Amino acid sequence: MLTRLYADNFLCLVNFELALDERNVLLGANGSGKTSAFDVLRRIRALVWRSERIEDVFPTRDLCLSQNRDKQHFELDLRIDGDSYRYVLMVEHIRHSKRMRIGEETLSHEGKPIFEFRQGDAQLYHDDYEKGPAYPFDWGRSGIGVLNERSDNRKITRFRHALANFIIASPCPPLFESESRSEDSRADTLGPFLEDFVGWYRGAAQENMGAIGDLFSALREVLPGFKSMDMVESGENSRALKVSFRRPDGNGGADRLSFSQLSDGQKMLVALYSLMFLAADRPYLFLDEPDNYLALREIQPWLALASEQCGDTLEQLVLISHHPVTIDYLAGASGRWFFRDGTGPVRVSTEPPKLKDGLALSEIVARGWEE
Amino acid sequence: MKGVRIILLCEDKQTDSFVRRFLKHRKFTHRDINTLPLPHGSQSGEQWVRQRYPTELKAIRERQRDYLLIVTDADNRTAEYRRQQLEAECQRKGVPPRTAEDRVIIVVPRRNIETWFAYLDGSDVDEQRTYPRLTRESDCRRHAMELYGMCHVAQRLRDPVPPALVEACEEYRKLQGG
Repeated sequence: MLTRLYADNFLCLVNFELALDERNVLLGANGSGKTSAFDVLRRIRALVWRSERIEDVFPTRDLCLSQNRDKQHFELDLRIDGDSYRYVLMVEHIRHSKRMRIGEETLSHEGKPIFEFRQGDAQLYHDDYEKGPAYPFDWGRSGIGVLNERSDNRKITRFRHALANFIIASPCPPLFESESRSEDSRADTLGPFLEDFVGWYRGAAQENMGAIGDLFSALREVLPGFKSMDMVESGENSRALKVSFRRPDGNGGADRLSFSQLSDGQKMLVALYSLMFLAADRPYLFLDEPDNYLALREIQPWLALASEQCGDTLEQLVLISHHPVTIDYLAGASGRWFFRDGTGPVRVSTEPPKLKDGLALSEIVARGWEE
Repeated sequence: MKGVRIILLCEDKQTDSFVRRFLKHRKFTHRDINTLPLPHGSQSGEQWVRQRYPTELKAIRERQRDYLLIVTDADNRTAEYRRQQLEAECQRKGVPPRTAEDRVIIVVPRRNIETWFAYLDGSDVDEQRTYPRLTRESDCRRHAMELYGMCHVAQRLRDPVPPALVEACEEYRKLQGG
């Protein structure tokens, strides 16, 4: 579980700290920094898990405009299988040349260092915290990202695999592709808008065939007439997702629709329920407004399912939402309230907003009475 | 499209999570259940349930096959006292009180849901004592399974059983379907 995120001098986040639980819903006005918090995670994952270069991940244009400082500071605290990890990243920007580099990158386990990179020198530690090799390293890439898994650095690779398991997306069904050339069920292949859902589904359905029955049962409840889904060949190495619905004439026939022929709301339901039933390795689910396209009738059942799976098949649930159903169902116990004065820094409170007896939380928010 | 079959009016998220897990054993899905979320304020959960009850009782009478499930803690009162309070609220609002024909189930944990969790964990419980909250909401999975085993499958609760739980299991028998 990601227990804490810290970011300084990134977009609107200045000395920003966010504490998280097993299930969370981030709330706040437009522009209050919720999506930026997700963005930090997405970028750190790109740096560490995908080994992307620092200039592609943290460009100078994303320094906070209100700050005149050239350093960015990020921290992630994670609890993985009961152990605590802290990841620290300092990025240095040289504005006049539009260059940047990693000034510091460290990872500690239970408060003891297991990897340190400072000013061009890396120090590796073994799993028993004994010092391992020290070596000069590239200022432009994560030193953790390039390490191969070995029997004596399992703590480092466990952290990296946890990052790989972050599903971070702002689902946008109009952008969902209906065909895929790949079948990769890794969390980071879904795309920032879940646009590559079909490719992910193709891999996840293969790997988790036992869960397909449960997924289809759930979809039969939410999509009237739904029968099944399958991948059909649509070109060289390419497969298209087809969704079959029972014909209403009752003769047992079915209409097989392309995924693209579904409505945006139907696509969203297929994606959200697939994530619940097919995602392997207890993913950390960070979804930005997943309730956007859903019918009112469908929101609470999905929230209840996701909430129930937290701590079971889901490692963690973090949602961003403006929807009254989500706010009223989750925010009382799991709300993280983002506040921002104009273009000033973002503040977060775990307390519900100023209370008004008998009013639903969503009603307080709708009236702007929370501050 | 299939509508909601159980309207759940309860005091907090922990109870919602426990009831949903329990009903899942009975094959009710999340789409079958709609939880009325607790508004925030100085108003207690008990007060919210009581004030909302007459409106929901009236509404459920219009439905032929659906249920209203009320879960409200007795706290330092008795289960009977809480039921009487609910009836009094109906009278105050001009809604005829619950009859045997109404598809309404009223469950009153005493002292609260944590008392039942302690019982389901194997302890002998005192209904007047306060028991600790669960560390994680999802930890109630085992309690839901245990209660389902006792109350539904075996139809026998382990002695010494807290009296409020005996009453709750009696109420639960009204629930059909799933």
